[in-house]
Amino acid sequence: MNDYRKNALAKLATAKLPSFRYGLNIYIGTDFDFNIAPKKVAHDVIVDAEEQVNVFSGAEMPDAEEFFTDYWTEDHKLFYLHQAHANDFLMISIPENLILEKQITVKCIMKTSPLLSTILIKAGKNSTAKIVFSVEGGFSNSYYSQDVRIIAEQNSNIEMIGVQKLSKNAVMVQNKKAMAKKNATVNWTELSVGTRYMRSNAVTDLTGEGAQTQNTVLYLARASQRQDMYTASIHNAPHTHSNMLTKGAVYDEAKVLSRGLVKINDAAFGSNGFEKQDALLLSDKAEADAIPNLEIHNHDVKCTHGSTIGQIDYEKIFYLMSRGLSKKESEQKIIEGYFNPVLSLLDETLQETIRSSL
Amino acid sequence: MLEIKNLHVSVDGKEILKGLNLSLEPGVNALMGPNGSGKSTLANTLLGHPNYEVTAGQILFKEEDITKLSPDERAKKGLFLSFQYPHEISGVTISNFLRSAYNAVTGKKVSILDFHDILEKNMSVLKMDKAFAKRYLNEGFSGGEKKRSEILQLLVLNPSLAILDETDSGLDIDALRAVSEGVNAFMKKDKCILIITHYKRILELIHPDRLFILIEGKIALSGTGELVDHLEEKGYGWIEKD
Repeated sequence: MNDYRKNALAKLATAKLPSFRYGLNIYIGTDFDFNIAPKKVAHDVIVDAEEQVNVFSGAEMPDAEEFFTDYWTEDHKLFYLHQAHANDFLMISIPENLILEKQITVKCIMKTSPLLSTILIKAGKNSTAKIVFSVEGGFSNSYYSQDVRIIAEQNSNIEMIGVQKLSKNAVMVQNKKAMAKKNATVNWTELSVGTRYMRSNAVTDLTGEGAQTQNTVLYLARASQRQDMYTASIHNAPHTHSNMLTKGAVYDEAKVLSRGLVKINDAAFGSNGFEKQDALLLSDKAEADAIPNLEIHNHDVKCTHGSTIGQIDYEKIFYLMSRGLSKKESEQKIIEGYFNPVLSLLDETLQETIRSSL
Repeated sequence: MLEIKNLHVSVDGKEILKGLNLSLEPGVNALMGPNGSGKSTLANTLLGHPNYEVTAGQILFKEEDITKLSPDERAKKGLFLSFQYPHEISGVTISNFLRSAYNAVTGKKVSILDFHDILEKNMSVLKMDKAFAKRYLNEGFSGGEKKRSEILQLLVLNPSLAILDETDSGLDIDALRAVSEGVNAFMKKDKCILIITHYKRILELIHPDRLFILIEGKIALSGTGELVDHLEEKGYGWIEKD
């Protein structure tokens, strides 16, 4: 066992769980017992990539020092739990100057619990790649922890699309972090339709001048599901750009919290950051909260944030019903329309993931 | 075609229609009346909006009692309402929505291609640009575009009874003419239309066979299309006095 793991194991003994409390009134926790025993993993990982791409997949931690430093650390029990017991690793390196025409697809089917997957992506200078990572399977109280780390070198362009279709009784904890160097672009898209509890932490650190990021999250929450999402864009260099859009539909008695942060540090002059969080409530018992935050330490910047949370206006349903659509079909149309402007940017298979779940 | 008997309708506990009787035959019917007389209430009630509570009376459509039917069931039976303020449905294109509606009211399952032909044919009647069908339903439309979109829906869905709730208000002369041409294209021997309006000008483009005056929740007067000239001259006051 290497030092990184030993260190995490030591920290795990004393580290605390996140409080799952935000402000005075919001609690978005779970009754799940996070005292997870380490276990060998049984699952299928199917990687489809062009041969110039370097792919490592296995149960042992790869030798990639730059991905295992304090820079990536989040100080709480869920993070150390993952680092100490991670039983699945995938590393994808895109060589310098390689522009991939074909997207890389990774399909992970969860068969045993816990599954703690570390996904490391290195985009070499001037490279371009699109990765679609989907996870499915799982079962009642199965635990899936995902830790994604991206290093985007100068002038690289990386698009990471995550698709989560786990069992509706599974628990998932996700930690994502990217470092975008000079003129690099890191775009995240997350489509999420499964689990009974999901916690997601996504941070993009714009460290080089001209770096940019787009973060799009689409989710459906149903039954008594709890979703706790945090998305941050940290501007640490001049002329950096970030754009964040979280859009979801909350059904039944589900409860969702979406927190966003655009942080512009003092060196990041000439930058701009936008964040928007929308939630559509589809039952009287569904709940959603959005907390968009801006933290600005430089005045030569442009930032906006906003959120909308609401139910479907009955007048719109009446309008569609008056044309012959049933109440259910009318709601369906309106929900589809709500997601459509964002979905239409994705390829058809991905669009279908959300559409078929609506 | 439509027979309304002693209709009482309340909104938020306040009675708006107070024993309205009205019989519509195929042809062009116009309904006029002062503000607050209950015109839009009647339109919404005919389509079954749940906020408009029928406390007494009956609505018969083609001799069938539809008083308790849901809005979509009424649409399937051949009722149509052109909304005074059409709602914006973001992210849903006109062609996508209208094909679903077409399939719903006809009970058919037309392919995208076949529907495309139906849609284009009707758009050309209204002199609409083809690109219009790809826009999201009413989103960002001007007042005139919204009303044209309503009439396009009327032509495509081809109901037996169409109610136009102030379709003419807020339209410039060109838009009014285009809308009127659309309505005239819809009108055939067996079709029935009820034009709710404040203004004479639409009735000069679509000539009414009969005119009804609604005052304080009841039909106060009915007559031929010429009645509109009296109204233009004298207003509603003389009817109320009589």
